[in-house]
Amino acid sequence: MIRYIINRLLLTIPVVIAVSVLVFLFIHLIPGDPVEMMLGETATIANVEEIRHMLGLDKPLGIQFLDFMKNLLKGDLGKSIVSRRPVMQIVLERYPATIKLTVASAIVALIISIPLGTLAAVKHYSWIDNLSMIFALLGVSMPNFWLGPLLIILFSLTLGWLPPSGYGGFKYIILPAITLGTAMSASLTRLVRSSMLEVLDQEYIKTARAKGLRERLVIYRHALRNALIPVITVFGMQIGSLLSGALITETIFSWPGVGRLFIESIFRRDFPLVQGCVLIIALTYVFVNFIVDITYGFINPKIRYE
Amino acid sequence: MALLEVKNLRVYFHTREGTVKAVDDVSFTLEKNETLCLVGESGCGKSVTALSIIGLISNPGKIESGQILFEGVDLVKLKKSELRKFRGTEISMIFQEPMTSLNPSLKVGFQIVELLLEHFNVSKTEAKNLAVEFLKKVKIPDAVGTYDKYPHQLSGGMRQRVMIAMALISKPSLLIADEPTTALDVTIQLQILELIRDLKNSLGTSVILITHDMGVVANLADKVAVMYAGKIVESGEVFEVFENPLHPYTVGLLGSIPKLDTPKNSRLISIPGNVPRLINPPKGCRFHERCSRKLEICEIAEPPEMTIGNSNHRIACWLYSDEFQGAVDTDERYGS
Repeated sequence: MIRYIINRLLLTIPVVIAVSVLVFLFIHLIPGDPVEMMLGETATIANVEEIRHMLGLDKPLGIQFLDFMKNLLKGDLGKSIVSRRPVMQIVLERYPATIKLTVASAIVALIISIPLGTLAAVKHYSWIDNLSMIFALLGVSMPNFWLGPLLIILFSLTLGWLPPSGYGGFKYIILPAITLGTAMSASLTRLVRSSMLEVLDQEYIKTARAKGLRERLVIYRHALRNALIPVITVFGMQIGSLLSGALITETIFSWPGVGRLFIESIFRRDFPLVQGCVLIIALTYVFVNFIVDITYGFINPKIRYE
Repeated sequence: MALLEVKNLRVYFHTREGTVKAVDDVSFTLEKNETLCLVGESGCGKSVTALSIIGLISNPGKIESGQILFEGVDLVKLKKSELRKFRGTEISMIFQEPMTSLNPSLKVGFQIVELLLEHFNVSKTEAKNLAVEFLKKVKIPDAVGTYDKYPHQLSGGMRQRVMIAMALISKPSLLIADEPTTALDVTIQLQILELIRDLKNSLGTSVILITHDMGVVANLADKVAVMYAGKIVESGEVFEVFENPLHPYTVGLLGSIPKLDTPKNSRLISIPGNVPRLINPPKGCRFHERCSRKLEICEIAEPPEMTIGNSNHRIACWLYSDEFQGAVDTDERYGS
């Protein structure tokens, strides 16, 4: 298992390097002069030169890249143009909020999708199955920018149970977590169901039943464990996208996470901050994928030993 | 009392296209310590018959009527939870595909132990010791090491041995083996069959062996029942049926095996055509479309089941009924 983990870890190195190069090039790939774009039409040439010098854009590309990588290894992503604070510090400040929201949404998604998907598969073609598929269809079709405000109208404005937006105690996280969790659970439910149906058809399920095991054990010990293997991949990708900030949902609920930071920095044309956000988001993806791979190893011994 | 008595069993699958009569009025008995082989082509209802004994017919299949008396208890009438207590304890089953019949994500040792923990009042250590003992009994070289292995680390033959250990660890009265050697190498096939036979003798288990291999039947069986399109067309003691096969289908099955004394240039017999679709089986005798000795009546009416003389040799074929005497003369039929 340890060898497997080290293997996976080594495989992430080229990805991280590639990501860094892309993020570095990003500022040079966008059309036009980024500094002029940043400052707008009213900028003086002196201003432009000053910013260009501050960002190091007046140096040759190779030198810029070396500087960028050198700083990156030190954890230095430059300074925000707007607030003049280190980018790394700003992003890390916002990270806990995003992590909290991700964990809460994931819990909502799992609580709904695993039992519902399993039940739908076990009671194939029953009313529960139909109901779960209607739920999945609704969940997939409802965009977050619609469901979020709808929840706010119902639970905050009409019933007055929960705060409509903001960041604070447990109460504040419920609505955004439900908004994100429902969308996630919709596709997960379908996946759990179809994967479960496939596994329930396997010979080893027949063996488990022929052993006279209780149906509960057959379902949870023998079927679900194997059915979750494809689910974990998709779940991992969903977690990855949540950790990189749910742009819309965070904005709707004024949730101070990375997603909202990203949008704010784009609107303010704060290029170093945008760059920092992209890099952190990409690294998050790499990290989540690594975790997914390791989880695979735990669930599926075949992968672990290859 | 016979260990197992199946009486007029009918198992139908209700599909959108129509009702598939997979098992249609099947009866047989199995005594203690006996081995019965169910023989026939794919899709003739052998596996469904076997699965219905332990109540594992999958949807949309259903036992329509009939009795399955196991030591006098009618398994058809039992509740699911009551039937479950017979599975793995009194009646065990092994399947055709050792590659897929073990759970890939659990260690094989645990898969054996969980059966013991489910049904018997044993500690984990006792269960483990017993499991290792049985892994030795099925002649797995490194039993202790194998206990901690995953199925994909074992070969097909080894996995089938694990399945056999699992099936026999509770010393069941009945072992149902559904084509246990079909998916294995020829060299391994014989080892597995011998293993089943030896363990059957030492544990006193009765065996229902499903196969389409007449060679396997000759090796292991006490009794044989030949199935065709959901019905048993001929059954009896294995030596009777092999010495004196009567049903044209049985004759065809036996004739399709190459023998050492078959002349070099002669062709093997093959039965033309395929097993009919069971949604709409042919009228009359279900075999008549492929039968080389078809009579007019065969297309019209189902053949009655007859006993040959005072033996256990039973057959359902018009050739041997009183009204339509065929190739066998009266003396031979009545065994006098």
